[in-house]
Amino acid sequence: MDITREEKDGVVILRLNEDVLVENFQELKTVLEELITRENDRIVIDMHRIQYFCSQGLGTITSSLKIIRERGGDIKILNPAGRILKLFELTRLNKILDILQEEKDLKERFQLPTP
Amino acid sequence: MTTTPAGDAPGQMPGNLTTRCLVFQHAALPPALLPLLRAGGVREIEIITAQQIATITQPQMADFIAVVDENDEQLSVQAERLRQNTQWKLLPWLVFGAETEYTRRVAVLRRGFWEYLQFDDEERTRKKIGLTIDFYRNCRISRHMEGWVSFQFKSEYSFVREVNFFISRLQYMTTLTQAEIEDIQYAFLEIGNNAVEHGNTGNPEKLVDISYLIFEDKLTIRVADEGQGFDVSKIRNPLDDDRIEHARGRGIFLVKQMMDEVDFNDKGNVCLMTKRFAPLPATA
Repeated sequence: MDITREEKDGVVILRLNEDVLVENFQELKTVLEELITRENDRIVIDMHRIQYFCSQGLGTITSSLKIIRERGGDIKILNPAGRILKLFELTRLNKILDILQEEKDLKERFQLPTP
Repeated sequence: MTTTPAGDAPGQMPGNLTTRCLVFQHAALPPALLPLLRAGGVREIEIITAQQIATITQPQMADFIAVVDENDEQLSVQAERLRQNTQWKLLPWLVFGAETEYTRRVAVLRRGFWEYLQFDDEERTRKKIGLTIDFYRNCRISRHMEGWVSFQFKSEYSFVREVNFFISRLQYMTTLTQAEIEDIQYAFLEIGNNAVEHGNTGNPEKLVDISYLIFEDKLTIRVADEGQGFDVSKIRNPLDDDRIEHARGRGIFLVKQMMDEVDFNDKGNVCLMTKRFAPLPATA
């Protein structure tokens, strides 16, 4: 799975360049697990390029979120396309995830209380 | 166009309908085809050549169309042109060929044909012709069925996505909107992937059986796997407070949100999901 990783001001941005499918969601899981192990607890997942996110992929985010939040970090979602936003809304994950519309002041966003 | 008298028996379908088939053929008529069609219960066969296809405009009376697979672009293009017309499109289009390759079959189905039938698999082909004729007629008459597609594929995720490709064609066949089709595709990917992963436990030799039925007012998709099934009642609501952060259990929930009806059989290895069409605006 094509994921670009960037680091800015202590925030790791994962840019998903490819749809998250049942065949490849494990790779996203591996990346998140690796960040958790290294205690990179400030993660932004940029979703603007993708149109499909399988349900197991959503599960990967929620299970990582739990661990990261217990340590005071967060996973935030950046710029999901309409299709993806709909998935978050239907599963009400939009209520527990911080969904950002634009990529600015990321560092500050992590200092605000999480939803 | 030439009409070939087909056999001596005045074979009649129930209701005194004579089974009639149009054969689309370009280069040469495979010798096995006509006996096969007759064995399948077809009584009237009309052979239409590529040049003739190019000049056809009006739909013709037929129970189904048999297209000879000659790896011939021209024939496919012409068939494609005819199927822009709703009445042509709603007829069962069956492709007859000698190819045994799975990928060839999938390529044909991707173009929207109903079935790929092999000459050398005579028994299956004969049965399938009979089934197609019966199904098409009964449904058209009694249930306003507008179309039917059925096939099986090996348990591989790539085939699930192949199927999804031609669900996108429903946009041309129904009143479904792009957004509704995307919902159906999402639902189908989830259920299809479940069938491959949990149902057939990733064993590629096990088959997943897909059919979709287009009625006047709705689309129903059936997905069946060869697995042990599962206890549908054990699915928890992923919106419950203690489940919201849980990793699994969202797939079927999302499917239910995106379709109008979702049902499983008792065993849990057959899923039926339905999307209703928005009513057409009244015509002035």
